[in-house]
Amino acid sequence: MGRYVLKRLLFALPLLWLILTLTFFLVRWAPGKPFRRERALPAEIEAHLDRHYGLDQPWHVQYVNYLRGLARLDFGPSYRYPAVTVRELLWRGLRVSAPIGFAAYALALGIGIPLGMGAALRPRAVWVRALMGLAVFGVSTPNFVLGPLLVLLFSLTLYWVPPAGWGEGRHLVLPVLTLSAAYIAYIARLTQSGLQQALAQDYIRTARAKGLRPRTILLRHALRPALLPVLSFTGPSLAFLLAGTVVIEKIFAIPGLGHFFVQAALNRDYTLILGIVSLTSVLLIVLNLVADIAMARLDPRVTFR
Amino acid sequence: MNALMNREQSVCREHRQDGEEPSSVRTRAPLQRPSVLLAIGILALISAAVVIGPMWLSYGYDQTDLDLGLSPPSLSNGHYLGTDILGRDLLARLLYGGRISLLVALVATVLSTVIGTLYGALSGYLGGRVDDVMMRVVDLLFSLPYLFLVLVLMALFAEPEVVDPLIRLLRWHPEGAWAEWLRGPGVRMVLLFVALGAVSWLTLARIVRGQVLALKNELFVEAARAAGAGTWHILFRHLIPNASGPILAYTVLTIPSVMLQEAFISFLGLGIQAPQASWGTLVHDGVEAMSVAPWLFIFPAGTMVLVLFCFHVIGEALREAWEGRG
Repeated sequence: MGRYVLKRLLFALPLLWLILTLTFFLVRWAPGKPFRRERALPAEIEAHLDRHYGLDQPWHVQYVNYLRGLARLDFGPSYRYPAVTVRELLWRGLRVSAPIGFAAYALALGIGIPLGMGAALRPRAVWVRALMGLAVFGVSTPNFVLGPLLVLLFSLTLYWVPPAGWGEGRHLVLPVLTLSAAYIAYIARLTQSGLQQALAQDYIRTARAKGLRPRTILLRHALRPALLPVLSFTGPSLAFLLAGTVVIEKIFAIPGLGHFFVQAALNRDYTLILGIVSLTSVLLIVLNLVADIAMARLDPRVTFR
Repeated sequence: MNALMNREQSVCREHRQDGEEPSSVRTRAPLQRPSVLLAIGILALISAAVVIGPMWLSYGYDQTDLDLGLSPPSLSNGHYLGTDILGRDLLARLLYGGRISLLVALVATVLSTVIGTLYGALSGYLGGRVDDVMMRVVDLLFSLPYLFLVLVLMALFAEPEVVDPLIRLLRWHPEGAWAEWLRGPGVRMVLLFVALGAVSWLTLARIVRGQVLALKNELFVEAARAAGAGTWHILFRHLIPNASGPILAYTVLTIPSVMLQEAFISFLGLGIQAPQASWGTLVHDGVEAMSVAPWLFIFPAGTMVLVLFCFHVIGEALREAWEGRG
């Protein structure tokens, strides 16, 4: 077990380094300069700004300084809003994005798993078919279409919830619904196929031959292996949800990490871009690792290598 | 919930029976399914409209008429789908945007199919250590947050000088009309081709590799090798043609996913720029004006979802046909 975790970590660290290096050079090689706007600055001022932020140094010095800063969790000041550090912006964005992401994923699990169970147990029931059809619709409708559609229906026609904004509980309703739609559908399908496979196994027949109650068989014996794919799907999806979903935050005017990222990209705010990519990569790698370890612990068939 | 669990036993029996006799729907050829034929028909109709439609219209995609801003769909004034805030005809913009959306999707898909097929076939055929390294690289690329990288690429690299090497490569005259176009609106299209093509080939590479691994020890490959055929000949004449089923299925499935990503990037304002249009930018403009002019959102969004759905239906049918046979 300990060796397995160590091995996974040894694979994760080079990956993290690769992502950070790739982003660093992508940003550095881009044409244009961070402080060049529509109105040109006098050459001396630009040179002074470059010197102040260390941009006049050779690239390898900048690269080493960047990695050193990262090791201390210091991303430097935002180039666009120099009064604020990137770390502070990341923290502010995360405090907004993470609750939405958690709520959306919790909702997706809460609806997706029962729906998938229903689909596996009663594949021909009318309500199951209707809901699974809706799930297919949820997967094939992009969220930047689904979100406005919900706004059109629930805000502009029925006046139930505000169309956009941030600060109160009711502002959460539409973003969370939009965000969870695709995940509900995906989790339902994973649960369905997992449960169907599990129910066809020999040990289920054994359990039934022992005379166990159907409820016990379903919840104790069949559901546990059936949910393993859902668990491994949770790692990466939760990472992307926590890091803020660019489109949802744009549609609903939510000041989260995804919103910051698009602004940073449009403003050439190099330090903020690097900060957000680093945070996302770390979340992605850590949550994938946690999901894999949890999976290995729950599934007796997995051996640690 | 209780009823669910009581049903469980009988479902188990049903399930086993299902396993014994393969269902007839699964194994039906894709072209015999009504849903696939309908999807192909819809796509053919939309493609035809997008290609020849703009020639028939009396309005250009960038022709403004401020007196007729935000007029709802009507048959009397010739704006059948209404106009946007600048009085531009929505039908003209929808068709023109369709050209760009379809073009980006097709070019990026072709690019990703070529890369994925070559990479996967080489990896599988060469085998051994080369295969190990090549597949590790694919694993690594799979775990990149590539959407963020694509957004960074689109935001930072959309400058005229980026395409200068391409103009030199194509030997176009630097001041000619084509070069001018490429430096202007062309930059973002080229970036979209490259960025989306470069990130969409990973799944296909894995599938082609699997196919090649299964095929490369067959007798016909050995016969070809005994007859003195080289690596490239065997790859292109024997292995890749034999893997054409899954390649076709995944190519068709890549089209909607690339199209969706283009729309997503353009929706965020980092893709195609006004006055050019794609379905993504039209949906974005529609969302902005949704409370006063819902048609600006409904028609582009509806068209895009319909096209995505049709590609999905065809691609899934091809994939099932291939998996059912194997």
